[in-house]
Amino acid sequence: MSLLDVRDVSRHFGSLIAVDHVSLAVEPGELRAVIGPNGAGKTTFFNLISGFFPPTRGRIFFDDRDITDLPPHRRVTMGMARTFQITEIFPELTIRENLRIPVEVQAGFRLRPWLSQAADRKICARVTELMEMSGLSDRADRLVGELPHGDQRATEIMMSIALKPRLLLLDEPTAGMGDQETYDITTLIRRLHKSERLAIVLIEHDMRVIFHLADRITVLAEGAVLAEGTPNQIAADERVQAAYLGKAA
Amino acid sequence: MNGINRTTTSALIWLVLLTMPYWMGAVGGYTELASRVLVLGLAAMALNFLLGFTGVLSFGHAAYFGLGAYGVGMVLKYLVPSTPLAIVAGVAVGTLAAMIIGALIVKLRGVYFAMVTIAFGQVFFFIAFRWNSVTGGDDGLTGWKRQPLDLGFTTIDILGNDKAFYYFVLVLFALAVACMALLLRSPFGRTLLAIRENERRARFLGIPVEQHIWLSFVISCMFVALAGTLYALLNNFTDPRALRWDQSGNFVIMAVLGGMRSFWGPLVGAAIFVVLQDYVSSQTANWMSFIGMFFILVVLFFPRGVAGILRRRTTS
Amino acid sequence: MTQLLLFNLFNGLIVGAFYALMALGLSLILNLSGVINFAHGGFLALGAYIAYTLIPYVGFWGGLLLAPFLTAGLGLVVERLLIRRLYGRDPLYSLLLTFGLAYVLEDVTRVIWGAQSVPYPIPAWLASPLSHDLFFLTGYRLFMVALVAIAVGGLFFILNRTRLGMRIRAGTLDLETVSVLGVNVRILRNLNFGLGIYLAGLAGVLAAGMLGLQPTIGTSLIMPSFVAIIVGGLGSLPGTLLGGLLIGVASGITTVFFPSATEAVIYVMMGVVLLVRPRGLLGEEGRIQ
Repeated sequence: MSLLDVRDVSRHFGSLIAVDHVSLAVEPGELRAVIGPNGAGKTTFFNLISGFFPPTRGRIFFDDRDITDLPPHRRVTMGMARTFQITEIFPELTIRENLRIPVEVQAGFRLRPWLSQAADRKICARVTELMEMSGLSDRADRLVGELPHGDQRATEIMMSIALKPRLLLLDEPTAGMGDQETYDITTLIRRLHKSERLAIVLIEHDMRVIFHLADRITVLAEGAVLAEGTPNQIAADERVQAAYLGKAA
Repeated sequence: MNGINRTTTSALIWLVLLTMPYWMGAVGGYTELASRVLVLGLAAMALNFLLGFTGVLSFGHAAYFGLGAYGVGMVLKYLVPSTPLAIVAGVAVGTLAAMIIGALIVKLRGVYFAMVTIAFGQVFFFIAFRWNSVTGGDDGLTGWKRQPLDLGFTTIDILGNDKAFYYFVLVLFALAVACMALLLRSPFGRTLLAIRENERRARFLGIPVEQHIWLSFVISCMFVALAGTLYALLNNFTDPRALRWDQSGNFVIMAVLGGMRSFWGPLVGAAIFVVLQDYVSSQTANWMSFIGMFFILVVLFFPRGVAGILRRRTTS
Repeated sequence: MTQLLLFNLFNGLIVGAFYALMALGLSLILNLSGVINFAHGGFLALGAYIAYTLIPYVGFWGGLLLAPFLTAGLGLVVERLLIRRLYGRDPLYSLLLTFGLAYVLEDVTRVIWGAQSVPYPIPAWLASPLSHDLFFLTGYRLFMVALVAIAVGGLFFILNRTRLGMRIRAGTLDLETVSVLGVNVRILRNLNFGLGIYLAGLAGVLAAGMLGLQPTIGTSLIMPSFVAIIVGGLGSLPGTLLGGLLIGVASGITTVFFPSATEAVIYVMMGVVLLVRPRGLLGEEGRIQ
């Protein structure tokens, strides 16, 4: 039983076919990379999986349940979390406060009008744990909006981890990062993948990151699946090379 | 703002509020003005629960303020001469209306949400205006007074004694404000901040945004309705103008003037506004122009309000 | 009965055309710049009073022609000096600004022209009915409908056939791209605002002839304009037009059967639309965000 089962999903915007009959299955604990040239429909695909908008055609199954019509927040409670191409965090709150919110939601406290001392301590402990996991502890009380891009991304990833997801969707986590930040984020992702035992689907352009992390790769081009396989298989695939370098190749 | 500052600020404010009737006269005011500051301050703080802390632009809060005012007046005039009961009725009516209207509008955002809140605000104004057999129409609801509180062992004359009424209002104000403070510091309160900071991120953290906005809306309107009941009790009269769109605008400007991101800001804003309005309307018939220009100046030059100015001073 | 119904239906259509004219101006400004122009009613009143002041010199037709342009000119100045500063910010601030502006405009109108209502002179031949049976079809009312139709037609012509109009429409969809393509967005917003205010001024001049002229003439008309936009559809000008006509006709019909509910029915319609189709009848999806 696959954790995520995307069945023949399409998404049209008027006459533009952004996602074209895509099927994909992700197993529990797998680390899958989704790659493809710009405009291939990768982010749109993520938006479909995470419930940002519905598919024009096709169904999506998570844990054998049809989630196609579920709104995003329900998918989150089912165990799906995501990050965005442009980091989505709470800029005028501190790292600690940013992390506290998903921890409380995950604990089922989102409607609680007050917290007992014991519960408060457990929440704080979990927040501290998350910060230590990602090396953010020394910046805990700084406003996230003032931090460098790498730290913001790390915070966003940890906010998603706080939800204890079984599937984590990462949309270009290393976009706009220099070598050191890319290395740090890649290491963080790999560490989390092992320690949290979750499935990760990763959109990336940086090949080093992909080859470092991925178990399998799915290649999208012009909205459709072009190829799927292990990193080595994909590297050798001529169609993939053509898609990246242009049809003339 | 670190913890020490927050406690000191609160302590200072409570000190001022507890003693206000005693020094009010010395600075050229009067007890009734102090009560008015409390009542409108409560309304502005209640609005700010939604506006400043949840980030939702509601411009129709006068509707619920007015419903509270009419509720309390109608109970005292037609049903039973009991102030506490009348207050409960006023709050209940306002809250119920908020629950229904909130459910209708919660999918909208930004200026569209604002437009719809304004329109709904007008609905109630127009009802109060037209249904003059019950509401007194343009003249408002008259012929009733706030009743002394019968506590069994003693009676508190909040009708004849201005100071007694002030402290009565202060007690209710304190309860309401404590409630709001508690909520804002709770996990639920933090979800509201999340929605304000980044609605998309809040949604993708598993927060059902519409549901939380609805709750914030209802809570906010409930306390505004309470303020409305106190306003009517203060005047022994329900003014249909309490329901009008300009009253809504006044609440918003109070919140902005005092500082939307600050808990006590709206109270400060209300105090400034009330005093200013009182002074200007006694000096000139053109107070409307002055209030209008005041709005414009605040928006152009003091968008972060008094609290914003203070914050910049302490950090620089 | 039929006479009564026809009369009120026609009346409703006129009123609706009116609401539509005012709402279109509001909608133009809202769609492009995201500003709720609370002062729209104030500009309406100003347009009427300016016409009233000009009539002794240029006659009824001169007033009708010039006043909206003068009002629009004032609108251009207001946009340039006040509203322009607030575009990047939270929509709250522009709402508060136009709010304050509404106060100022109403008071200024009252100071200059007095708080009493004044009669607005219309040519005698317009005031007389067309026939005895159709007594409700006074020349002025028909004239109003005709003029609104011309104005709306003109508006849609501008929007669909001129460069300015095309840029406004494009800007409503994606202002950033329009700016990147080299269009001066500041001037665009300014002209758009002026266009909206022109419609308000025109509505004022027309309203004065029918309702009489007093400082509060604008404030009573602004709410139905809001409702027209909400009912007709956010972001859609044809929707706003439709919304205005619908609520006008609806209140016209209601007057026959439930006279006291005449004004209420437009809010009931608003409630129903919000319940069933929040984006409005012709509203675009995604506009409500």
